[in-house]
Amino acid sequence: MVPPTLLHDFERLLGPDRCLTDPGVLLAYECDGLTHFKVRPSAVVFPTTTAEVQAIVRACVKAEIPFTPRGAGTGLSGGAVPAQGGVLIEFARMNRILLVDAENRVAVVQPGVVNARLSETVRPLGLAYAPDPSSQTVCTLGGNAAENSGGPHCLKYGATTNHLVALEVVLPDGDVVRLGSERAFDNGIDLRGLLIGSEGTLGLVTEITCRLVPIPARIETLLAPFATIVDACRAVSAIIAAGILPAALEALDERTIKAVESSVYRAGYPANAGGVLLVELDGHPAEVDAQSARIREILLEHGAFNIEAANDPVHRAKLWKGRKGAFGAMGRLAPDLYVQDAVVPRSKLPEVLPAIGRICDELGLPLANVFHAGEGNLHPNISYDGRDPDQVARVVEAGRRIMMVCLEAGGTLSGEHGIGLEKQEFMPLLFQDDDLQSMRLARAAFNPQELLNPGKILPTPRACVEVRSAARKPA
Amino acid sequence: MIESLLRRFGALLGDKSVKPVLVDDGETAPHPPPCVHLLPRSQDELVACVRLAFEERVRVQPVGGNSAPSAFRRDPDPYLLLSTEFLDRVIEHAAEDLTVTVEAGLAIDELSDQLRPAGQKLPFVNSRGPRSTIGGHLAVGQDGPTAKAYGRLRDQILGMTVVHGDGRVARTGGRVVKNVTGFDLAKLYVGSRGAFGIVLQTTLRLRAEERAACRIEFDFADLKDALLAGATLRARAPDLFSLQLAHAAGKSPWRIQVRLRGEEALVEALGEECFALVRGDDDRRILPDQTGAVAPTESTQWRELRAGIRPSEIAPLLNSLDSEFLSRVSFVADLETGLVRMQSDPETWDHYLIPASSFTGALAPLTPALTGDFDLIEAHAWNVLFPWTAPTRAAEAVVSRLKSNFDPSAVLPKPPAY
Ligand SMILES: Cc1cc2nc3c(=O)[nH]c(=O)nc-3n(C[C@H](O)[C@H](O)[C@H](O)COP(=O)(O)OP(=O)(O)OC[C@H]3O[C@@H](n4cnc5c(N)ncnc54)[C@H](O)[C@@H]3O)c2cc1C
Repeated sequence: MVPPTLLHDFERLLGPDRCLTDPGVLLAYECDGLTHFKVRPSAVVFPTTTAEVQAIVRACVKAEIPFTPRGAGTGLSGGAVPAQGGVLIEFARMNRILLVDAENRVAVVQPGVVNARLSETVRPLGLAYAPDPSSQTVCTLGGNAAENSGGPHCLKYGATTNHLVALEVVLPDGDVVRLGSERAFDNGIDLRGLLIGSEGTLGLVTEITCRLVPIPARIETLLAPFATIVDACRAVSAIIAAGILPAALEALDERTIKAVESSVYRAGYPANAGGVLLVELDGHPAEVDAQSARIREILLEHGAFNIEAANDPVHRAKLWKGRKGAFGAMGRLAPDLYVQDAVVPRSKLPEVLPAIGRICDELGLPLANVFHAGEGNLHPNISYDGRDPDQVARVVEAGRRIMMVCLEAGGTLSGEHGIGLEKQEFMPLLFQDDDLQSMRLARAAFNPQELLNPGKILPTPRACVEVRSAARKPA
Repeated sequence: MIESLLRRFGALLGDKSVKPVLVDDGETAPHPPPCVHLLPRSQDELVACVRLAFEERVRVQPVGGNSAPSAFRRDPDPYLLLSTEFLDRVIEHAAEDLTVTVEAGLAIDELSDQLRPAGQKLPFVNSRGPRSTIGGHLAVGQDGPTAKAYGRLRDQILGMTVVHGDGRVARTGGRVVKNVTGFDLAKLYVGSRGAFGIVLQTTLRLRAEERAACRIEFDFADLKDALLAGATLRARAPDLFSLQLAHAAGKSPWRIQVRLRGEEALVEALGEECFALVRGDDDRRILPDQTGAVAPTESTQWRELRAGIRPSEIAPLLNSLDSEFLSRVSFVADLETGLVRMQSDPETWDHYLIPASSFTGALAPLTPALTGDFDLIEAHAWNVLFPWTAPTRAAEAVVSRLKSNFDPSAVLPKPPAY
C-alpha cells in the first residue's frame, strides 16, 4: 500500500493531472498486451524530465515502495505489470525528440517517443530508424530498449541493441548514469548492452541515442504463396543456407491468411495458399536485382507459385498490410489472443511447425502462425476466451508444450517479447542454477533492493526444482 | 610461494601442464613478476584451475594467443598465466544456420580456415596476428573494419559460457540468432578483458562469403582532397562495405580506401559509381580484396592509439594536428564509424604528446579544433584503456559491485575503464 504522504509528494511534484490514483482510472494500467496477468498499481505517475524520474524514484526508495516503468503497455510478457503493486512510472509524456544529427546519423530522444515517429521525423533527411516491431505505431523506444525488441527488418539490420548507442539511465537508487557513447564505437565494458533487454529491471531509461540508417535506394517485396506452410519453411531454410540475407523474411500460415483476408487488413494473399512468405530485399539496385533472381529460383524450387513482386511504395504497402495487421485480424476471432515467441534454429522450422500444430490439435485450440521466419522466431497465436477457465488452462498447457518442443530443437524461450511474468517459471528448463545465479548477481549489482520492477524474469530457486521435475514427467 | 603453486597445480593438471615462467615481454616493466604458466587440456581442467586459484587467492591472467599485453606485467606479485591454448575445438558448425560454437582457445585464423570450405566466415577480422584466439578477441572486444557492414563485435555473440572468479560456470544466450531470454550477460564479458569471467566457449553468428569483393584506392597528395572524396562517398554511396582514410608514416599520399563486397553486379556497378564520384587526376587502383584489416605499417616497437570519435570530427581532428607530426604517424580512420587508429614510434609519441606516465589528455593539446570531448579508446603502449570522459561515480559503483559479485576474491584481471 502506497502511503498517502508519498502520493502528496507526487502531486506536489507533478500536479494532479500527472499523478493518477482513482481506482477506476487505474484499471487501464493493470496489465499490458498479455492479459493473463493483472495487478492494479496504487498510482500512475507521468514524469516529463529526468529530474522528475529521479525524484519519483528517490521518493519510492525512501518509502520502500516498488516502482515499475511503463511505456505504451504493448508488451507481451507482463513486463510493465506492477507485479508487487506500488507505483507505475509511465513514460508516455516524456516524448520529445531532442536532437537529429544527420551527418553522424544519430538521434537523441526521450524514452516515450513512439517508434514510428522517429522514422517519420528523419525520413525527409533520407534516414530511418531500422528496428520496426509490428506495434511500432504505438510502442515506445523506451519499451523497445527494455525488451530489445525486434521487427521484420531486424533480420538484416539487427535488433534494438544494435541501434542504441548510448543511454541515460536513472538507477534504482535514483542516481543518473550515461552508458555507452555515440562516439566510441569501441568502449570497453558495455553496461549499455546489459541494460538493453533487461526488461526494465536494471534501470529506468530516460534518454536514448539511436543510430539511424540511410534509406535504401531500392526496395523490392516478394509475395511467395506455397501449398503448405512447411514448404514455405523449407524455402526459408534454403535461403538462409544459401547465405542470402534479405532485409525481411516473414511467414504467414493458412489460418492467418484467412483471418487477414476477411478483415480490413486484406492484402490480396491468394485464397488457395497454405502459407505465404514475404521476402523484402533492399539496398543498391544491382544487389537487389541479383538477390531477387537467386531468391526466386529457391522459392520456385521449393514449390512457390505465382510469385508477386512489388517495387513501388503503394504495392509494397499493400503486401505488408496483411502481415502488419495480422495480430489485429486475429484479435477479431475471439476475445483473447495468446502469442508465443519461442525461437528455433532456422533449419528446424520445417519439423517444429507441424509439431506445434499437433499440440494445438490435441488440445482442441485454434492455431495461427505468423512469424519472423528468417530468424526462426515463431509466433504461434491461439485465439481463446479468457472468461472460460477451461480454455485458459488449455492455452497455458499448449504454451508449455510448445516451449518444450522448441527447446528440444535447440531453441530458446523468447526472441523478442521477453520473459517478464509469463515465462520466468520456464527459465530453469533452459538454464542451470549457476546460470540463473549469474543473472541474479547482475541484477543485484544494479537493483540490490529489488524495488525496481520486482518479481520478473528470474524464477525463485524453489520454482526451479518444481519446474525441472515437472518437465521430466511424461506429458 | 611459486613452489607451492607448482605443486598444487601439478597435482591437478600433471607436471607437463604447469611451468614456472619469468615474464619478460621486452617492454618497460622493471621487475617482471614471476608466474606459473598453466596449460589445462579441457574446459573442466581450466575451471578446476580457477577454483584452486580462488581457494589460494592467487590472481589469474587468462591468455589466448598472447597477442594482447598482460594486465599484470607491471605487478610485483606472482600470478597464474592461464592458457586457453588447448581449448581449441570446434564444438558445432551449424552451416545451414550460419552459426558456430567453438572453444575460447581456438585461433581465429584456424577457425576461418575451417569455415572457408562451407563458403562461410566470421563477421569480424583478426587484427592481431596469427595466434590471436576467439576468447582473447572477445575479451579485448575491439571493433574493426567490418563494423559498418556486419555490425559490432559484441552483436555477433549468440551465446557464451564463462567461468567466474569463484569457479562457478555460467552460460548465457544460446545457439539461435535472436534471443531475449534473460539478461544479455555476454555484453558484459565482451571487452572487459576477463574481469568478470574467463570465456570457455561461445556461439557466434557467421556470414556467407560474398560472391565478389574488391578494394579501390584513391591516392591524394593533399589531405583536403582526400577528406572531400571521403565525405562525398559517405554521403552518396551508402552501400560500400567500408570506407577508410589511411596514411602511412613517412610516405606522402593520403589514401581513400573503399571496399566493395556482395553480388558481382553490385561490385561492378558500385565501383563505377565510386569512380564517377571521385573525379580528378589523382592516382587510383582496383585491387583484390584481402580479408585482413586495413592497418598501417606495424612494427612491434610502435605504439598505437585508438580513438572513437564522431565521423564528423575526423576532418577537424586531422586539420588541427601538426603536419610534421602527421607525417610521422600511420593513420587509419574509418569514415563510417569514427574509429581512428594512429601508430608511431615511441619517440614521436613522446615528443609530440606527453610521457607515458600521464597519458590521459594526450590528444587535447593537439586538437584545439575539437570543441567537445572525445573517447580515447586505447593506447597499446601502456596497456590501459583511457576513457576521455571519466565514468561517473554511480557507473563505477555498478561496475565494482558487478566485479565483486562475479569475482569475489578479485583473482581475475581488473576491469578496464569504460
Ligand atoms: C500487436 C502487437 C505487435 C507486436 N509486435 C512486436 C514485434 O514485432 N516485435 C517485438 O519485439 N515486439 C512486439 N510486440 C511487443 C511490444 O510491442 C514490444 O515489447 C514493445 O517494445 C513494448 O513497448 P512499450 O512501449 O509498449 O513498453 P511496455 O509494454 O510499456 O513495457 C515493456 C517493458 O519495458 C519496460 N519499460 C518501459 N519503458 C521503460 C523505460 N523508459 N525504462 C526502462 N524500462 C522501461 C517495462 O517495465 C516493461 O518491462 C508487439 C505487441 C503487440 C501488442
